[in-house]
Amino acid sequence: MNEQSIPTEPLEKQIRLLERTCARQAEKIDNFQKLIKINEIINSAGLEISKLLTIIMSAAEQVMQCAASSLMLIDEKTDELVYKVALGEKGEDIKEKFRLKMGQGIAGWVAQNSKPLVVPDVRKDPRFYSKPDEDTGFQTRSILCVPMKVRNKTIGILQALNPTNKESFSKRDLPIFTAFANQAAVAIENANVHRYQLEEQRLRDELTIAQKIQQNILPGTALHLDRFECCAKNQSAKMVGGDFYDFIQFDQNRFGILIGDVSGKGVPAALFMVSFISSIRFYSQSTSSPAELFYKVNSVLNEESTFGMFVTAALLMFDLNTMTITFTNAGHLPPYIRSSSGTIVPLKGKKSLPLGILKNTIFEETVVPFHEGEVYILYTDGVTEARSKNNEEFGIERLTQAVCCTEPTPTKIVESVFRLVTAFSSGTDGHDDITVLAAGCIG
Amino acid sequence: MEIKVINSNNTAVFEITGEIDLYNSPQLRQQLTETINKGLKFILLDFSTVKYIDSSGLATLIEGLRKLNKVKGEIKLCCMNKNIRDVFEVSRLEDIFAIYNTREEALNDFKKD
Repeated sequence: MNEQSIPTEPLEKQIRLLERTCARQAEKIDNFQKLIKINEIINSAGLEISKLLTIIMSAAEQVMQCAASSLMLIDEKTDELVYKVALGEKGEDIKEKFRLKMGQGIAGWVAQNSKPLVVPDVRKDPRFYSKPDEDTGFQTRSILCVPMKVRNKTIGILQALNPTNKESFSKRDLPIFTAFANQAAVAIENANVHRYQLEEQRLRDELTIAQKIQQNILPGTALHLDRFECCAKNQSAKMVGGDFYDFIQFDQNRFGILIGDVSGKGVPAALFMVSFISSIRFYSQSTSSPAELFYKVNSVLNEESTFGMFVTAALLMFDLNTMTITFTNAGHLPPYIRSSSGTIVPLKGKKSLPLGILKNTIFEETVVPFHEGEVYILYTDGVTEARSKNNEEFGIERLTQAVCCTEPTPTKIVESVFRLVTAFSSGTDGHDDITVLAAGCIG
Repeated sequence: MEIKVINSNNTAVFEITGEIDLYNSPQLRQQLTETINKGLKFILLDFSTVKYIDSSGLATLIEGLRKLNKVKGEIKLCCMNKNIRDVFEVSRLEDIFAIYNTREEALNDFKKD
């Protein structure tokens, strides 16, 4: 056989095939290197979201070699796509200015369908939305657009416009850009989690300050006035709460103890409590009638009450001259009296609606005698409704036992009730604010 | 907490199951607001399967009462267990809420035109 007649075509084909394979392998290696670079860039970007987004897009332009790129995030409130970063000569003209509805334009389609899209020539795709081009003068030729997903949820899109190294994007550009978008989505999510953590810490710090302010609004825990002695203790289920107490000196011989509970818990209850106690202190300077004081405060409170919020409260005014108590109870739990002989009975009297419900509520007043050695105990429902691990209620019986089993002084009684309630509900969440107040004339 | 609302003849009956507390009273508030916004002015809350109500729940009822008063509507409550009835008695809220032993009594007592 003549050597020159050996057909060369299969060999050339094989060489071309080998060259193509080598080129594809080289492209893959290049893509891997790009991905490593992307990782490095994103990991070094930190957690500040605006800085991170810009760095992501700068990396996108380098990787994809394009004239312009943009990152849009979904605004969950309006279900629209918002330009967060837009790079390229017209980038600043569209950033935060344009919004796309889901399904509108190429980006809207990608966000709505959570699928990537390659548009080699936008003039041939009816989904293309030309308004940004018309407004900025930029001329889009080809688009590569991919969704950014976190745990299968699309949070936005990335798009690259007009490749600089070729005429148009092709499907072969998708894997690298998709991998890039996945990295970017995780980085954005991490930055968001970090931002939420910082925000949460800020709120916790603010609540700590609010707690201190609220504690400072309440008077001290004990007060002695001649033979008259008061003691109180308060503990909120949350950092701030709606339980409160106050000691009010009406004049030299008349002294009031107030306990109350604002509906609800936490910050709303705490704010309402501050408003209430401020009004009490203001109006107590111009009246020495508990019922009249509640009437005046209720009138103010009704104008401020929202979401149906209300206050149950009881006010006992001790007159050391006449040895009488004038008291009014606005929907609060009945006070108890521990007599000098050790018996415990509820303080019976007229009751009225809580404050903050009806503007013209008439508050009833009851006058009863009091004696040396008696201790008057006021409490909030956090005491009687405290739950054990077995979901039992603390109840009135345990309250009276706690009052009985200690020395008959306000301080000892408050300590005893608090100790028993705390022990009873140990291991539970402590679901309500707890306040105990005791007062009496110790002979 | 679960709320089933049965609408009939300008009246809505709320069948509530579970506890009405700080965490789920916003759900009751939303349901009351939606019902009132639909133009239903007579609302009966059936407490047959309510185990517990706290002060947030009571505040939500007061808010509903205020809204209905503004449109000359009415809110009624029925079938409470003893503990819940005691809460209304101690707080004197029984002075402003019409409370009935049975659903029929409550429905018959709506002052409709």
